[in-house]
Amino acid sequence: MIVRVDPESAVPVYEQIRVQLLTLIASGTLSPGTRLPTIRQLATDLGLAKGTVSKAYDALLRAGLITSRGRHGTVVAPGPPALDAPDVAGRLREAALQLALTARQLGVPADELHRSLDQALASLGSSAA
Amino acid sequence: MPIRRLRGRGAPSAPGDRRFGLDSFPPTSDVPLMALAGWFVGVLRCESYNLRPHLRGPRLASLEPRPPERYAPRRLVVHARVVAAVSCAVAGLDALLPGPHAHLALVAGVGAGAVLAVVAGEACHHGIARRRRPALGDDLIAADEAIRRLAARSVGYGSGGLAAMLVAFQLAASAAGAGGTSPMRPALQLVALGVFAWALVLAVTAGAELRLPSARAVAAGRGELSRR
Repeated sequence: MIVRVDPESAVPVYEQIRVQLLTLIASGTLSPGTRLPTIRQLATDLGLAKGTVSKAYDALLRAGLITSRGRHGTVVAPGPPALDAPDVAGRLREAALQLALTARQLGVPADELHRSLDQALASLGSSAA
Repeated sequence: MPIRRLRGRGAPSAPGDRRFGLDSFPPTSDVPLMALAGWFVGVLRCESYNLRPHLRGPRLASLEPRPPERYAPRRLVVHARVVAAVSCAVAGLDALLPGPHAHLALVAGVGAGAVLAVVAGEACHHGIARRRRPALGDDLIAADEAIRRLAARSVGYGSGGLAAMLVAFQLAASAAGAGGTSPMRPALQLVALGVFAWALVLAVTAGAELRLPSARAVAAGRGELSRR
């Protein structure tokens, strides 16, 4: 599973992390009991301050979506996924539409768009699946 | 009279004198110990050095945790902690048991060195697991995992070996300080010799660990990742 942050975005970085984790948990991609990386690890990997990641984790803790097990790390809290299959399909359709629109506006042909999408998926590795 | 004839077993070495063996007091004159300590400090320095690139723009990271125990076997960590505990016990017993305790300060100092080696090894081990890793493809992750495993194992064997060697010197100093008539002296010397041999085995293993991973090992890691 991959998270992406853009420090130059208008959205605060901790909010970007929070929303992505929320989506992963709500869709069931991160199932209950799944261990999350430590705050320090995620902050190092993303090149951020620990406090930024900590803020995102704290918000998810307060929402009851993750639980802290002290030395054993942070895990996804038990509970059914908030997004059902039609919700997931709807979000995917919306993202695909946005991608198709961007490609059309840039004048990119369909086969090149497919190739770019395949490359993007491959660059994320199997852990992103 | 030459200094060597004045120096009995367990007597202090002259400054700058180089010795081989457990009767080198202080142990800083012992060649194998200093070679291992120098090597270990070099490994710690290398493995603790992290590039801190100035990142700009969007960044990706994996949510997969990297616990330190993934990179070095648990037994290595336990071994190092046991050696540190033994070192503290030797220093404590040397101070508490009746006897002349001619080398008490030396025993305590060498024990502190052993504990320091273990603590530094563990800190470095955690640092290896926490090193920055951006989101990568499977091939690069497999290579990165193999490098981290190699580094952690080398540090683990190195810290355990160095701490064990220091404990051997601690025991030898304790035996020498106990006095010639002490019934404990031959037993302590024998145990010190055994611990020294064990430390040499660990030191050689630590050196042998520092090989680049074979293509087969990387491929095996890649297979493991794709199954995960």
